[in-house]
Parts: sequence; C-alpha cells; structure tokens
Amino acid sequence: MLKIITIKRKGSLFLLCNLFFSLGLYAQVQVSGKVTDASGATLPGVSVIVKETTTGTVTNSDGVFTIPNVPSVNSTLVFSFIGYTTQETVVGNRKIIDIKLAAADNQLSEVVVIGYGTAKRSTLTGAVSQVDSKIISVQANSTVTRALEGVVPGIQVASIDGQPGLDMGIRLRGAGSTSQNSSNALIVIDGVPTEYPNALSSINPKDIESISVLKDAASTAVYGSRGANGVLLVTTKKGTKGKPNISVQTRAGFNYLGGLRFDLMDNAKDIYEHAWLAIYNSARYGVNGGSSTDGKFTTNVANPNMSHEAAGLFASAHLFDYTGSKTNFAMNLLGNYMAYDVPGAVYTTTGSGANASATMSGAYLIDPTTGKLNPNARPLWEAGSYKDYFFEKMFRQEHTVSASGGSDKMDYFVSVGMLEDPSYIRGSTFKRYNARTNVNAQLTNWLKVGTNLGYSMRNTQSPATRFGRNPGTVQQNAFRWVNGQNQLVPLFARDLQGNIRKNPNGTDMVSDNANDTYSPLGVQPNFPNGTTSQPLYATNLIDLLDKDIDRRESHDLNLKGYFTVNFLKNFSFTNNISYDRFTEERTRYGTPETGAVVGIGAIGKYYTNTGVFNTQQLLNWGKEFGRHSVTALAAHEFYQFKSDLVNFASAYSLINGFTGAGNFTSRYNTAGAPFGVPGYGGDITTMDSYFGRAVYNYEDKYFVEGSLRRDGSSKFRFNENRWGTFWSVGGGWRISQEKFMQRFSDVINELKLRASYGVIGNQSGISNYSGYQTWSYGAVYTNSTAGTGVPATYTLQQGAAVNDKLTWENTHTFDAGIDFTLLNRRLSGTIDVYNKKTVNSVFAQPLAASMGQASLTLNNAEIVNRGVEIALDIKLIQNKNINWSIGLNGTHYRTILTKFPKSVGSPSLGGNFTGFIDGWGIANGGANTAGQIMYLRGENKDYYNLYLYKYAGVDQSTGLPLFHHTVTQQDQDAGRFTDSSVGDIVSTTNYTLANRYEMGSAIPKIIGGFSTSFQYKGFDFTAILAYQLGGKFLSVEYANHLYRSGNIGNALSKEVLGNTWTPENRDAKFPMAFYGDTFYTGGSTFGPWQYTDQALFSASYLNIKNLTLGYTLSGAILDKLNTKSIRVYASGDNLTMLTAHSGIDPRMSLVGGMEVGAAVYLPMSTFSVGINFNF
Amino acid sequence: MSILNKWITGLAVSGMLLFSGCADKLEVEPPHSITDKQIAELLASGDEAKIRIVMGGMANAMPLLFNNAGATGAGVADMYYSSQGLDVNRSIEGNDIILGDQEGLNVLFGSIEYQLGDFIGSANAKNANYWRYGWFCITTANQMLNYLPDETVASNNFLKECKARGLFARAYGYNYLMENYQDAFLQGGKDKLGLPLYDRFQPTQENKPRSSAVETYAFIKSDLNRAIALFKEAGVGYTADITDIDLAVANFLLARVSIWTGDWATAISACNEILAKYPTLLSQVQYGGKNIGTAAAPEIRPETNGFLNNAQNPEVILGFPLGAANTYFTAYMNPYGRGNGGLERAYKRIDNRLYEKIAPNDFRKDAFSLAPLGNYTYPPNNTVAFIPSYTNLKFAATHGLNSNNKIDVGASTAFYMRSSEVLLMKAEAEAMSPATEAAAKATLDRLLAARTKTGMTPLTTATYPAMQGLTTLQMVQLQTRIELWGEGGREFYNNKRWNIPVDRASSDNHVTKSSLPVAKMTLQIPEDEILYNPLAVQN
Repeated sequence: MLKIITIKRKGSLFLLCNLFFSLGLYAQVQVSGKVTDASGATLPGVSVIVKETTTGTVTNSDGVFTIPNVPSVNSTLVFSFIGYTTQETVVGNRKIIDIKLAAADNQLSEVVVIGYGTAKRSTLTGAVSQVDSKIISVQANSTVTRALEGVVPGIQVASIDGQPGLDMGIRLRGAGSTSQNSSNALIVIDGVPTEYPNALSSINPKDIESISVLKDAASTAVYGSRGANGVLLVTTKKGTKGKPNISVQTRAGFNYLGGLRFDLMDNAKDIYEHAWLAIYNSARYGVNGGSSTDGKFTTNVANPNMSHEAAGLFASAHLFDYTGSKTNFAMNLLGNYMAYDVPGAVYTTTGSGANASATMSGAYLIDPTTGKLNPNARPLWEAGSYKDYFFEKMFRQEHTVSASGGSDKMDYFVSVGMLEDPSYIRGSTFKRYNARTNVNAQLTNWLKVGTNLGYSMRNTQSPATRFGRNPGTVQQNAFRWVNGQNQLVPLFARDLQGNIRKNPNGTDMVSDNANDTYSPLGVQPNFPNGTTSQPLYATNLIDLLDKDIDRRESHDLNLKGYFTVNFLKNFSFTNNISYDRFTEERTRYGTPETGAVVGIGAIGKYYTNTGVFNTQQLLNWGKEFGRHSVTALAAHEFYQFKSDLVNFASAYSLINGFTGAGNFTSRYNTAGAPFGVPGYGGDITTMDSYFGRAVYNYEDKYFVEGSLRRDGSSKFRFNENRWGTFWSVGGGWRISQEKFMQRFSDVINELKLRASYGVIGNQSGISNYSGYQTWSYGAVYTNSTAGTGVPATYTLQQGAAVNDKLTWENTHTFDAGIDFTLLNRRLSGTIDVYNKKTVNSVFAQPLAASMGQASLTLNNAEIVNRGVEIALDIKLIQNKNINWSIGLNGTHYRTILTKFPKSVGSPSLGGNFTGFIDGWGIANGGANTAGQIMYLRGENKDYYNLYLYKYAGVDQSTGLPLFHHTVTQQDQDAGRFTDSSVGDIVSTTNYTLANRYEMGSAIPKIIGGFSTSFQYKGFDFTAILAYQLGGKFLSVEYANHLYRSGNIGNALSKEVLGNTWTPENRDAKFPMAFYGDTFYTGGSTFGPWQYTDQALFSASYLNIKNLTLGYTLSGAILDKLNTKSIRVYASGDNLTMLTAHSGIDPRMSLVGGMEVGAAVYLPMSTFSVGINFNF
Repeated sequence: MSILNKWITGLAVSGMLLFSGCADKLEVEPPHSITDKQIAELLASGDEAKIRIVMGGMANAMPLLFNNAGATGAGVADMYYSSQGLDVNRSIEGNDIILGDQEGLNVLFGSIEYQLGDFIGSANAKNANYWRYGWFCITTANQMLNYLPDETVASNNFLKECKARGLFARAYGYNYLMENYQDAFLQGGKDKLGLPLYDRFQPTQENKPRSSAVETYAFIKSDLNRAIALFKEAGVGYTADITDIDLAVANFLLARVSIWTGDWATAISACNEILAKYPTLLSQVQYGGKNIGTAAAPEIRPETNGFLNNAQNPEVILGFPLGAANTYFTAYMNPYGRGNGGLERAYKRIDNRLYEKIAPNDFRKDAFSLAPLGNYTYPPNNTVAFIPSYTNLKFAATHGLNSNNKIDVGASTAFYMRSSEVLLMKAEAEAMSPATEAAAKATLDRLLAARTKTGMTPLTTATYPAMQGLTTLQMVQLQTRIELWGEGGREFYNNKRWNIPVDRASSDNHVTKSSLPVAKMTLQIPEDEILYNPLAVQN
C-alpha cells in the first residue's frame, strides 16, 4: 500500500492545535506528561484531548504536554498521533501521565469503504486496496483518474491523449471481456454507480477522502451484473467532530511539454543531406529510369545506372527538381524551400508555372562528392519552427477553500475550488469551478439525516477542433503540423534575405499557402519570388487555433440525501436517493478566414443532458453474541440512466468570429464543416436489484462473508434473460490472533489469510436495447443541398440481425490473499493471487461477408485473467526528527483466451483467428478501424497477441527491406523459394509475399508503482513513480510517417539520418532511401494499416509522476498568524517519462498501440508551487 | 418507546415496499430507433398505404446501392469509401489513365493501384472493400426479398415491382463480385468457381460453398430475367425517371452479363431494346468541360457538361440528381476541383498512346488538353498549382452545378449507365460473329458519326485513322477505351475480359511504367471469407 500519511488524523491534529489556543477558561486540574514511542523516543506533535470535550493540546518538541484545565479526575485523556494507535487513559489522581504510544497498523485497523458500507480492514475477506487522499492531493491533476497510475496493485489507466479535464480509462486486473469497451471498471461515487463517461473530472480531487479499489468476488459481487471488472469507490470528504477546521490550499505553476517528444530530423542541413542521398540512390540505383523499384522488388545496386560522381552531381544539381524522372524536372517534395543562400549558385528554371523549380549549377547546396552541406552556404532561417511557437508554457492555478467540523449531533464539510489547467498547446483550456457540501445530522437517537451536494462548472477548449480527442491527420491538429510536415516549411513567410515578411498591418506574415516564402527556385515572370509548395495545408494555423472553437461548458450536479432509522434493537434502515445531472453545451465554430471551412464559416451546437437517478433501501442488522458477531444487509436498488442530446449545425456566416445564431443562415455544411448533421437522440437504461450480505466474525479471528445479488436490466429485451443472480463467499483467518502466534508477536504483528470465490456479472458489452432489431429510415431528396429539400422518396432499411438471446457475462473469480504486518510494524503488505474466468464472454463472432453482416454477438467465449499482486509498505526510519517510508507495488497478469467458437478458427491459421484493432471508447477512442488486423487469437493464447508483418533487415544485394515469409506449396508450384521447404521462414524483398507473425503480448509483464515519503523536522519530501516492464507498443507515427525514409516531403525521424543502407553502409538499420513514393522501401509499412514490427517498441516505462518538497512552519509564527499550520511546497508532475523510444507514451494504449494512430496529443508536465493554510 | 419502534419498523418496511417493485421500469424500448416490432405491426396492419411505405421504402433503397458510400472500415477520404471510388481505383489500374504527373505526390490516393502494386492479395485491405460492397448489394436485396415470397407478392403489381428491384440488385451484386473475383468467363473463368449463392438474408444460416461459375451466372441471369418479367407484369417499362430501376436498367445489366459470358444474342437483343428508347447521343457541346473563360482564368461550367449534369445528357439510363448524387467521382477526376484530382494534384491524365489514336475530327479529343492547362488558383485558399499536359477536361468544372461560387466546385449529378456503352456492347456482340460483323461496324459508325466534330464529314470505321487494319473487335475495343475513358473502371474489366495486359513501357507520359498481366486482374477471395466461411476455398 502506498500509504504515507493519513490525512484524517492530521486533520484532528490541526483541530487540536487550534484548541490549544483557547485553553484556560475551564481549568480545574493540571496534567502534564511525556509521550514516547515503543523505543522510548519522544514524540512531538501528539494530540492530547480530554474526551468528549474540546479541551486539549499537542506535545512539544520534547514530547511534553501540559493541560492546565482538565475538568475532573474522572476525565479521560485521548492521545492520538499519525501512525500510532490511539490510547485513552483516565486521569485519576495523576498530575504526570507518561504514555508510550504503540505504532499503529494502518493496514489492518483502518476503516475502508466497501460496497454499501464500511468495514474494518482487519475483518475483510476480499481484496480491497485503498488510495489515500494524500496521494491524490499531492499531485496536480485535473482528474483523479490521472493520479491513479501505479498507486495500487492491479490498476491500469490509459488515455489516448493529454487533454486536461478528461478522464483516463480505468482497468482493474486486466480485460475481463473480449473487447476493451466492455472491460471497464465500475465507478461508484459516494455510493452511486455512474456511467457518465467523464464523471471523475467533475470532482475536485481535493474533495476526495478516499478511493477504494474492489477487485475480487467478495468485494464486488454486491455490485452484481456490473462488478466483474472491479469497482472503484470514490468517497468525498465529510466533517468530523470538533471545532471548525478551515483549510486554504493554493497552488500555481505552469504546464509544459516535458520530455515526451519525437526526435525529428528538424535541422535544415540534415534534411537536405538526406534528400540528396535519396535522390542520389534513386538516380544511381533506381529501376527503369525512375526512383521506383517498379514493382520488381529489385534495384540496380549490382549494376549502377551511373557512376558515383555522376550520381552525386545529378543529385546536387537536381536536389529540388528531381521528381522521379531523369529528363523531366519540376518542383519536388522539398517544395523549393531553400533555407540557405548559396553563393555562386546558378538556378536554371525547370518545370512550368507553379510547379517550376530549378536545376542548380555553379555552386551547390550539397557537395556532389561528399553529399554534405556546402560550407559556404549561409543559413536564412531555422527549420522545425512550429514546435517552439505552438508548444507553450501555460499558467496553471488551483485554489481550494474548505471548512469542516461538527458536534455530537452534526458534522459538515464545505468546499469551494477553482482550477485552471490549460495544456501546453496554443488554444487549449480547462477550467473548473466547484462547490461541495456534505452535512449529516443525528436528529434523535433513532434518526439520522444527511445530504451531500456537489456542483461543478467545467470549461474545456480542445485545440483539435475537428474530432476532439485523438485528432488524427487533419488540419486542425497542431501535432500533425509540428511532428508531421516538411520541417523546412517556415511558420512565417521569408523574404530574399530570410527575414520574416510582414503583413500590410505590420504583423508577421504566416506562410499559409504556396509561394508565400521567397525561393530562388522556380523564378519566372509569373513568380518573380520563385515558387514554393503549399504547407501541409493551406491554413493559417495560428489563426485557426486562436479563432476556431471547440468548447465544452459543463454543469454537473450531484444531489444526494438520505435518512437512517435505528429501530428495534439491532436494526437500521437507510433510504438513499440521489440524482446526478450532467449538462454539457458544446460549441464548435470554424472561422471563414482559414481552415476547414474557409470561405464559409460554420457553427455547431451540441447539448447533452445526462441524468442518473438512484435510490437504495438498505436494511442493516448487527448483533454480538459473546465472541460471535454477525452483521447482515438486505437491500433494494433502482437505477435509471437517461440521456438526451440535441445537435444543431449551421453555416455561411456574415461576420467573422461572431457565434450568435443571427450570424448564420439556416443551412449547414457537412463538407467543409465536419460538425455533423442536425439531429437529436438519447438513451434510457434502468436496473432493478435486490441484494444482501452477511458477515460472521468470531473473536476478530475468523471471518466468513457471503453476498448475493439479483439484477434485472433493461438492456435485455425479454424477461427470461433479463434477470441474473450473482454471489460470492469469502473467508478470513487472522492467524496473528491465535495463541500459538503470540510468541512471534514481536516479529509478526499481524497476519491474515483470506480467500474468496464468486460469480459476478458484466453487462458492459451489451448494447442498450440489445434484443431489438432496428431499422433505418431516410429519404432521397428532390433537390437538396444539405439542410433543405423535399423528399422524393423514402427509404427504409433493415439493420443488422441481432441476437436476442444475449445475456450478461459471468465471471468466476477466485482470489487468495495474505495481509501482514511485521518487524514491529515496520513492514506491512499484501499479496494476492487471482484467477478470473469469464465463461460466457460476449464475442462478436465474425461472419463471412457473404452472410450479410460482419459479426453476430454471442455469449460464447471464455477469457481468463490470472495474476499476482504485491504491495509493500516499509517504514525505514521513524524517530523524533525523521520519518521515512517507502511503498511499492507490482502486478503481473496475463489475459488468456481459453475458448471461442470453433467455427471462427481458420485451418490456415492453425485453428486461430485474427483480431482487429480494439479502440477503447472510455479512454476515448483511437482508431477503431474495422477489419484491420492487429492480433492473432487462439485457444490458450494471450488475448493481445500482436500479429504484424516482420521486417527482416536490409537485403544486402539491393538495399531493399526484407520481409519474412513462410514458404507455401503455392510458392513452390510457382517456382519460388525452391531452395527451401514448405513451412520454412524465408525473407524476401517482395512485400506482397510478406506474412504476419506473432509478436508476443502487448500486455506488460509487470506494472506497478513506487513511492516514498521522507520527513525531516518541518521538511517533507514525496516521490511517486509508476512503471511498466515488458509489453509492446506499435507507434503508428513512426511506422506510417517517421520511418518512411523516401518521404522527404514529410517529417522523418532523426534515427533515419545516416542510418539508411548504402553499399558503403551495409550495417544500417534502415533500407536504402529512395526518393518519393516508394512507400514500402522504408520497411515499416506497405500500405494503410499494413505495418511491420520495425516501429514496434517495448512498452516498458518509468514515469516520475510527482516529486514534492514541502516545509511546514511551526512555532511562534503560527501563533502570530493565529494559524494551525502553514505548509509551503514545490511540486513537479509527470516530470520524466523514460520509454523505449522517443515520442511514445505507452500509457496511451493498454493493448499494443495501433489504435492510437498518428499525430498524437502527448500528455503535459507540470511544475507548481503552493501554500496550504489551516485555521 | 416500543410503540414508537413498532411504528418506525412499520415505516421502514413500508419504505422498502414503496421503493421496491420497479421491475416494470425495465421495459425500455429504443427511444429513437424504429424497431422490428414496429415494422411488424405496420405490415400486419393490413393497411395498404402503410405496407407500401415499408416495402416501398426498402425497394427505394435498391437503386441507391449503385450510388453507395460509407464502406465499413474506410475513412471518408479513402477511395474505398464509395462505389465511385472503387471504380476510379479500377480505372487507374489500366493503360489509359495516368495518376498525377510525378512520383511522390500521390501517396494517399490510389498510388498503389496506379503503380500496379498488390491489390489482389487475400489479406490486402485494398481488396476486401470490393468484396464487401458486392455482398452489401446482395444482402440489402435479400433483406427485402425475405419479405416478398411469391405467395405474398401474388398479383400485387406494387410488390412485383419491389421484388423486381430486389432481384436486380442481387444480380448486380453477384455480377460485380464475378467481375472482380474470378477470371473472365471467356478467358478460363467458365471452368472455375463462382460464389456461394444465398437467396435469403439470415446471418445464422449455414455457410454455403462456392458454386461453379456457370451456376453463378445462371443464378444471376435467372434473377435478371425474373426481374424483367416482373417489371413487365407490373407495368414498369422504360420510365423517364433515371433514378429508378426499370427495364432499361435491367436490360443494361443483362447485356453486360451476356457479353461477359458470350451470350451474344441476348446481348444484342437487350441492347436493341434499350437503344430503341435511348436514340439520342451526347452532342459536341455536351461532351466534357468547355472553357468559356480565358486560358489564364478558366471558367468551365458543369451545367453544359453532360458528364456532370444529367439534364444535358440524353444517354443516361441510371443516374442521380444534384444533392442525391455522390460526388466522389468528380472529386477524383476534376482537375479544377478541391479534391485529389485537382487541388491535391493527383490529376487524371490520358496516356499519350490512346490520345494519339483519337481522330483529329473526333471531338472526344477535346476532352483532353494536350498542352498543360497551366497555373490555376484553387478555392478555397487561392492555392496556385500547375495542371499538366494530357489532363482530362471530360470531367472538368471550375464551379459547382448551379452555383456561382467556386467553393462549391464538385457539386454535380452522377450517372452509372449510359447508352453509348450499350451501343458499344451491341457492337462487340455483333463483332463476335462473321454474320453480324457488318452490323457491328454499322453500330460503331453510329457512335462515330455522333462523335464527329460539327461540320466535319462523319467519321466511320472505314475512315477513322487509328482503326485502319484493325479487326472489328479491335475497333470496338479502341472505341470503348476512348468513349468510356475514366468511367466505371470499365477499362480494367474490359482488359480482363479481352485478355489485354497492362503494359505502360512504351508510354511517353506514364509516371509509373509498370505492367500487369491479366492473371493479376483476378482478386483473391478476401481472407475474412476464407477464415469465417469454412466451406470457402481460394481461387
């Protein structure tokens, strides 16, 4: 467990600090004493309070306390301190009371939140991990989901992009179902399950008291049909008895793009030299007079077309006008961008009009003999100018004011906060304002009522205004420009001298079209300033990011109320009602000045309302019979999820930048303005559930627990498969309580064994209204541009056939665990092993296209997740001045497919079948391109077994890439590979023969985290790290762009430079670079989604998530400020990400990366300083 | 207290009861989708008007299959996304069309197809979309035909027309697949395998093995003949509406299938039936884009171009109006457009070898520009690019149809069948027999006369310069290449049918001078079919 400090106790400490200043009024007896630990070391800061009063103090730096006004000799003093067991003692006649505090076992004695209640950790039979609020609050995140990476064993989070304010997807103990989208953990906030996709970003992480992670059957079965993939219970803070505690937390800093960057060839010299080499190779070794290998999969390396000298001269002369022909010349992929002035160069125009370029003579940019830059060339501008402009340091601030307190009858917690957390990309914003009130009142001895109200307003502007997340290769995506385009293209247009050209109004002129920048090439009457190619898109990206809008304004309400009635002797009845309302207004605007809707101007408005109604009736009963105690719960729950959405789109604006309705005509534009078509829709799902739980405890030594739940879900059309029953049994044995263990009590402080088994459900893979076959209805219009027209005829089409027998998945979960505290409570930990077997997993059984649809969803696969988890807490040093603890955890698991319909397997694949790209909606999308093969699946194979073409290095006779191929009879019949036998694996330059091979699992071998907390006097230092070992990540950016060495009009990886094969450089990693569209010659791809393993990297990483250094002021200054505590700190988040390759973030995918696509939005880093006051 | 406690207990229990029993709320039907339940109720209502809406709605979807977009797994920008894009891909896999004017500028748009790379491999993504499209037509047809057994149709003319549309669409799908996935019938394909024959939509039915090619064509012809019979019974003849499936459309496909399978008599009779109803051919002013501006500032209006405006094309048998028509084809073919055929410089140009064969007095030569069209300033960003020589003007327009705004460039109608192709199919069928060879020449002469420049002596097979010394069939082949340049991927399918390989070595202006033997024109059955239909076997 990564527990560092328990904030709750810290809260009471501050409370008592405050009380200290109000002593004196009721003094009757003076008591003093010294508090030490078991070793005799003095303990400063221990709170000492007179029970059931507000009288008290804290020990001083020598561990000494004095209370001058203890009410009476019958009073009881309560000593409490972080990390120690609270002790009580009656004062009696003593004036001096010395106390030894035993170190607490914060593993087993703490109270943890479980489904529909709480329990002491020592009595649990299930696998429950608790995330401490300190771990959450120390980090600078807009959503708590980002803080969860690596903090408890078994959890994984992923997000396809780094936009702040969006939740990451959460996975517990692997994928329990056959698609990522149906393997999501259930998120429960203050007892209410939420299916709103971005619910946790609506909560201020500072308002979160704890997060319980429920992982096994004993803990999750009470969530029935939704518990099988684990449950995350998020509990917000509430007040505790005592004087008001007012806390002010403020933090400010900046967000920036950290070390996660693509290592691009962005130096003009390198780009020209590489282009020269590609042209040289094409001229000297190309086939059929061109650069292409002409479909023959060979080159003329053995019989060069020309000498080295001639080829060098040719490449130097035609650096800018070689387009694949040795006789016809025109502007080539370099686009005539000439970032140097070459004294003595003569430019002889070639080609025509806007495509004109020039052949160089006299002097060359690249030396014909060496292929290196002419030393006399004078640089005019720097290449790679986009990143510095569009990636900024953005100001971040966060403020939270909260007050809490309470009396015997009532407690309260009130918090208000604001966060401004923009990303590092120009145009990105995230702001949140939030308020929360949690009040509980014990009105009578039999009636308690309470309410918990939360509100937040979120404002998100996403810079990629076309698709929002995972923006892909569109002009609105700044990453596509920065990391994808020809790095020679300057952001600002340049003149003859290389200076930035000015607009008439004196501002810098953006190079947003062809011929904006001066070029000595292509100079002719119509183009006296030469010709240059269009940048990646004819778009002014600065204007686009400043003026286009994709803004989401969200208002989230969480309303909860309850009453609890205690009756008879041992019964209590609680009725909870909650309603969560998420309202989002999304505005998309495309300026007519530039970009996708240039000349048009378009608006899209999207309104979504989501309401989640939940009511629970919980009847609790508990009784102790001597050494036996029993608790039981019987309950009913009703849940309704309802969403409504309205889309509106309009276009053809009059006034630029004005988004008012009056500025648009009634017509919309789908071609240029990809804002969808007007429409409305929504969903309703409901669940009705009955459940119960019973726990038996014998002497706090033996525990038996069972739960049972019956769920009915509206997702199923017919009553006969609508209801499911789920159950679990669990047992625990606290061995350390046994007499025979007492002699080891110094070494083994606590030891508990536990095991559980149960059957839990999952309905995530079932679509709403699953049994209904739907029809699509439309019209063909007489005359229409989008938005208007009279139907000429109507069309009606039957949708795909459905399986109305679908039912939920059942996961049989076994878990065995051991919890221990050893060595005078210096070492504590938990080890769990588990086996989760989903027996009727929903499986989109692929069908032959000839059957009329791509697949039919059936409950007919079995998938198993097996794993082991370890968490350790080590208190290395605990003394008066120094507290140093370390927490670490690790998880190993495998996801194995154990059964699938036999008809799916193919004899040609040995009974296996191929699996397609599996985008994850909750981690927001990624490519979900149907039909693109990514995995080979089969019985007892890893479910995420990657299946790609295999790059076999460079063919030494041609310089072309080699691909692995398995020899077939067909080959032999055709006279191919006759030296080999059928079944042999050979390598060939003929990519059309390349075969896919298994590349191993995408799932890492070990995931986990590491944290440490160090305190020295007033200083504290925290480090939180997360890691992953093993697994694989395919970078589409590299495979499809950066490794395509001949694609010199696009950005390339620096790795390619000097590392492509030539007859003189035979050990090169990459094949010979050829000019132009010889796409497969790079070796990483040979067509859309046809990737080799050349860009398949290890998914291992080490992320320094957070480093924080703080100092807590003490002494007189606090008195002067009438303050309980002041802490100042500096903190860095996501500081360093060590990965196998530059520019990849394996956290974007848990399953191999292909779905992430190219042009990715890498997450940001944050540096901040803050100050916290407690009054 | 005990009394109070009892009250409280009672209250609690009532509370539980009060909030229990929400099971009725679990009945949730899709709030925004029409369900099979609602459709069944309409069909069971006995209300003729409602039944017409349901069946008519399904039947109306049939012609739209030929104007299809939205292929699974393909992005909007892909040429695999629409049936028009699939056709253009086929078109650039031949001798007669050149993609762009230099290497490296056509990375995304059909470059692999143009370079004659691998597009037939079983596992190749460039293959599967053809398979899916063919089956999509068949499936959509079968979904409707499920509702139209003969006993339901009985003597109801409306239902007969619906059924005829379904049978036609199914035949179209099967023929499309046969054109792509098997060797041409007359080039050895006859003795090879055909396709699994499904006459109903039911994804849970047993997989079927591939039938023989002969059986498959029998199935196709049976569907077509039955469709034609039903149209006749229903009184649906040759309608003026070019968006519907009528006798002309059905006969067109019958003619195409017949010349593919060597059934020359049927081809001739089907063509004759159509030609009787479509006597007028495109005129010189209607044939391709005409610049009414200047060379420096061209203005080429689609309104006058029969290939972009069906109102100006008397030949169109099946086509769609502005708004309903897909415009992907125009985007790929129009050198002045905003799509890849224009602004993005994947210009569609004619091979100089074919261009040189077009007679000087043949106005179809004007559908291509020998000289470069030069710099053109493209909307919407005023990007200047240079349009090279040999670029087609056949599909050129600087504006959208009925628009003065250059941003709307690309808006056009679409056509899928026209009568010139019927003439050529007829001529081909006639050329196959010495007895009708003279008729073949006469048929060709009719086309050539219609393509002769105004005021010039009508061209004939005897006077057409490039046709001297050719066999009649070779004449038909040459005229087909000229007339149907760029249309429907016909050159590819015809090359396959005529056993003509692609060989660009002697072309002066091809960017990639690759070759493609006819054997490489037959696609392999896609991997998915092999994987998931255990009875499927590879070609």
